[in-house]
Amino acid sequence: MPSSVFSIAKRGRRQLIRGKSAYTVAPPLFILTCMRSYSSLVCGMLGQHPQLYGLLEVNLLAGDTVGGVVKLFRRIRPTSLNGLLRTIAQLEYGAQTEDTVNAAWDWLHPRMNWSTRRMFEHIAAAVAPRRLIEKSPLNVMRPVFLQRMYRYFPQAYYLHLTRHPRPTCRSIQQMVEETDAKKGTRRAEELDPEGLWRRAHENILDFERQLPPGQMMRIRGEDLLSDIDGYLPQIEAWLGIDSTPTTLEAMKHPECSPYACMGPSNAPFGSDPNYLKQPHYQPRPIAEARLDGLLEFRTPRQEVFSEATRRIAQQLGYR
Amino acid sequence: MTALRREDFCCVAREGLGDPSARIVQAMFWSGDGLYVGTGGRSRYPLGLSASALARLGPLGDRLRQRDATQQNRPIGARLWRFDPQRGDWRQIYRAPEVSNGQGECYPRDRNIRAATVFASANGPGGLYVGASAMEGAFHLLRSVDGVAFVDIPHHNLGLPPDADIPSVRALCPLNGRLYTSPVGKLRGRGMLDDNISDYPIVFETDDPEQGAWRAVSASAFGDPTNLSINELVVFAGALYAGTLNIQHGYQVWKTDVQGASPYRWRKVLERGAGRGPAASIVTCMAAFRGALYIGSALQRQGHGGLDRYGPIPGELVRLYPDDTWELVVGESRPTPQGLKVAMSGLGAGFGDRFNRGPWCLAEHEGWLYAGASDWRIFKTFLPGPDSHLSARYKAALRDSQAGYRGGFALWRTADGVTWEPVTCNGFGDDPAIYAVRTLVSTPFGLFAGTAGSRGGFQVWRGAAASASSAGNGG
Repeated sequence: MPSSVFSIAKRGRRQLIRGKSAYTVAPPLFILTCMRSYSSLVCGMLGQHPQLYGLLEVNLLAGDTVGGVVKLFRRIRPTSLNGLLRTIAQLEYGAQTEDTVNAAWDWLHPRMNWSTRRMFEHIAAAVAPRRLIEKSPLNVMRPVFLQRMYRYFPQAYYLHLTRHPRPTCRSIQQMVEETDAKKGTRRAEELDPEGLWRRAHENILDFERQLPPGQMMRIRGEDLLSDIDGYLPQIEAWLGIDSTPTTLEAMKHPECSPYACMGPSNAPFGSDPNYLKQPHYQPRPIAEARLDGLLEFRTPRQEVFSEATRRIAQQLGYR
Repeated sequence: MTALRREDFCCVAREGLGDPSARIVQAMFWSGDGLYVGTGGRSRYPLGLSASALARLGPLGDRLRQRDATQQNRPIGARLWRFDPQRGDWRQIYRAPEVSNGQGECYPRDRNIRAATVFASANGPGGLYVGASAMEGAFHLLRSVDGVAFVDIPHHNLGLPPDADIPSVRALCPLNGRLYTSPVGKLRGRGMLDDNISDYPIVFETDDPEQGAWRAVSASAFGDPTNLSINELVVFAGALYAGTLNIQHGYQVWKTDVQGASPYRWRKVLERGAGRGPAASIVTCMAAFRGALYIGSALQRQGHGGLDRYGPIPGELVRLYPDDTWELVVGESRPTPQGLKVAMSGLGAGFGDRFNRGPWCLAEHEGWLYAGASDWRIFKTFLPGPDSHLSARYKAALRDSQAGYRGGFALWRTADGVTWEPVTCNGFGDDPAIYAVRTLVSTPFGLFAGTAGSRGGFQVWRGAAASASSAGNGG
């Protein structure tokens, strides 16, 4: 574990002791996106900027209190807590091992009555002066989560990251089928990837309407990853952070993040497993997908994209 | 440099000058000492459909025709008015002639006036040129040398085949002794929303309009079949600029220095709706101001299932420089292939109003740039359906805003292109049926604004600083 993170954590705690709220010092960046839309890679890349700190999916916006979030995910999907546990293990104990994850659990227990806002502030203070980047896809699935985010961080920056619905839906389907195969479940049969894609982006577009100009920026993941030399500096400029060849080079190495790997057996995930296994950025052409044509993934209702999905996709610049 | 305020405006024409079915001022220009206002009305058939489109509807088409006949919704046809601001009086100087279909039915030959300019060629006497949209067949080009009597001049279908479907032109743009135009609209196979598309999205040129010697000076659709028409033509910094309608990818802007042999070399200077995509599908207006070309854009209405169902999607304003660099003035800040674009005015799309469809006209007057806008709420297409995932709060906000809409439009002004101030946000609070400023013209007697309304006829407003407002206001 690099000693610098320890020093960052200590500095953050000192800030909290002084009563200085971290998020007021450096507004975080939230990446708003549907799942399987390059957010792990983009968060990992941006997080390597020396003034930014990319988190795993901490999923804290699912509830008002830490205890509520933990209780919720323990019941419906315990792996959704992996990101939070790994983050605490990293920031409080300097490493992500089975022991530090267990220690993270112990650390969490007396703090179950913390508001999730307080937990965010604690994490932000721990990494200050670096600015947090949070990308949990769950954040956009319900308007109440987005409103909570805005209530906590009214000065935050919001990056709306999009991906064409066809490869997104295909990837969601594939992910769930792989999970079914491992666990012997049949979740894929009830899956509606198109509905997930549409709901995510409708919620984001809805959320955007309440923001002043410039607080949300939209970018197609395909464009960003096809020309990172062109687009990453624009994101730097938007966030008002340093933009130099050195910062750009750093962002090309998401694998340098302490989170860019599978976690210990008691918290292996926290992000897209494919990304965690291969976190390197590799420039590659991204094939252009089309909205027309039969859907190659399962859908409960129709064989082609619905009119509503098509129109939202068109609004986002897809054909 | 006197900025016009709300109280500087007065209405000089209302209720369509006696014909409430004349709902929109499509063309307006100043010549000599008079203001010319081109209007018109509905097309020959109900809902703007063609005869063949009505036939395809079967019994429904028959019922629409019968209802139309019962209501005596006869089209009024194109009219051109002249306003003398010193005397304050209006005079109708052109009215579309009646023609017969040979089966006893008479109708006005021209539907409306959509394009007009003052032009002097090297060979001809020059004068006022007006493009009149046709009820049937090709558009008509009219010319007047005295500003009163207008006569047809030939255009020979712009050199296209005799059966070319070119019912209208929207721009007549003079440059270096030549006149430029491009056809818009379709009559054959016409649906309800065909006024802005064309079978011939081509720029045409003539140096002798009296003889109708027109020739194509661009490739069709600039070589991109997703360009459905060329809606705007404007001269800026010695070059000719053309703005397209592109529903699939977003509008494009092309330019040429009109040098060398035609077709000229055109260069694409904006694409994909300036990076906004199909939400900015059409160029609505362009005007030069203080060394930059200001370009308004909006989402073209697209009917059932169209993108406008997912709005309201407010319009934007960008400014383009002669070196082809551009800035976002009003709109959604975004990364683009040309760099980060942040709305320099601080105003989001629609000048910060989600119901503002965007600027529909721009004009410089006494050192200020004015932008007249259109309001979405006259068209209710965006109201969410039962399957919408929009939040209940936002849906309620949309419905409340719709219910509370009492008509009106926004008119904004700027002295530097960056700091924009509203002159009015409710159409001067005058008529709930008026929803847009369609035309703006600067004159020695003030700034004139021609409106669009859903019923009750168009209005013309005159804005003049107090010292100049003593001249007749008429109306």
